[in-house]
Amino acid sequence: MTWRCELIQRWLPEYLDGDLGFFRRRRVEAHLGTCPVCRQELAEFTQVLEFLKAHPVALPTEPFWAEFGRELHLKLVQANQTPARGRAQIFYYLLAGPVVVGLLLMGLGYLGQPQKPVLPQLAPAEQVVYAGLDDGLWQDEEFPSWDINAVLADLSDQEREAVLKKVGY
Amino acid sequence: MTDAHLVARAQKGDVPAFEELVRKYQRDVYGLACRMVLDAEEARDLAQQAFLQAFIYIRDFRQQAQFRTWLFRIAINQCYNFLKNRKKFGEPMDSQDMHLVADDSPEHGLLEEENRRRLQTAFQKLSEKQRAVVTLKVEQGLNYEEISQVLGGSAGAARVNYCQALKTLRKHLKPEDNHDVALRAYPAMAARVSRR
Ligand SMILES: [Zn+2]
Repeated sequence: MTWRCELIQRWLPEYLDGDLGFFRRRRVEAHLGTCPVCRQELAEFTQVLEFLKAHPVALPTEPFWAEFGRELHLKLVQANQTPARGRAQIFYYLLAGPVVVGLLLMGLGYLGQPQKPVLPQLAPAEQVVYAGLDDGLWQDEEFPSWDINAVLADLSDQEREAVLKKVGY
Repeated sequence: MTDAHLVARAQKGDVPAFEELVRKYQRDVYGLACRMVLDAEEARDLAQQAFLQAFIYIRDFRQQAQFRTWLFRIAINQCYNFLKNRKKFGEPMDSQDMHLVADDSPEHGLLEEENRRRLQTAFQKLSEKQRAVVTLKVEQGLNYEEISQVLGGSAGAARVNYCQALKTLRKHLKPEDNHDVALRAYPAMAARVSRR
């Protein structure tokens, strides 16, 4: 697959949605006219979307919702009777549990085996973003995010490897 | 009555007004939770929790935001927490054991059932964020900007997630050699079924 195909295929979901701007849309269509690989890709995306739309979540029938409403009603009335201040206090009590657990886990983390380096320590965000930009993983105006963990998690194994190699990990 | 009116009343503690919002969005929230945790029974509980949380914190809701988007954000966070706990306490995810649909859902044919199971299995291969993006985009009709408001991050990140998710779904919905119900076979089979 050429870099051009890779780029075009990134735009296919938006092309299908009709969300592409005029010029990009024209670029995609021109490429599709000459490239059977990307046409096949488009056909498969279309099939996935049709399959998804043909199988929405099976929604339960009316009795389910009646019971759902009754159960929730009791909870809402109860919540409504809890004065706001009390509610805030309960919130802090509820918070205390996870905080203690969090602290414990943090403590264990420090005492336990040395962890693998976490991703943000690999390379500064800009480096990853520019590395991806160089490789045509994303375009100037559309680099995904400065949150490296999110960016790396979203890449395919191949792409991730390429980017990490590039920034010298 | 508009969402804004109902929210304003709910902010003053008007339970019936809030319940009108519940009735309006319960199917969306339930559907979203179903796709996130892939279990109809858990989805029901999570939807209840999401609405309860929304009611408790409705005073924090600012009217310039969309109530539906705000509600989705709460629901997704409930699902994330649930999934995190399930991972932590090591409950196995096995599509054979899960409740695919609520017990009183309308009955579906065998093919329909099999297709749902395939979709369910394919969804299991998605990351939590990808599940959320696909569902919000395809089933709830949100655009990338709205999705980024629900999930945090940028619209660009949502777009990347969506693209990756479709690729993963495609990979796992593709026909297998000895499997007779498959993505490619679907349109033909659906046509056959609908002719009956
Ligand atoms: Zn191509």
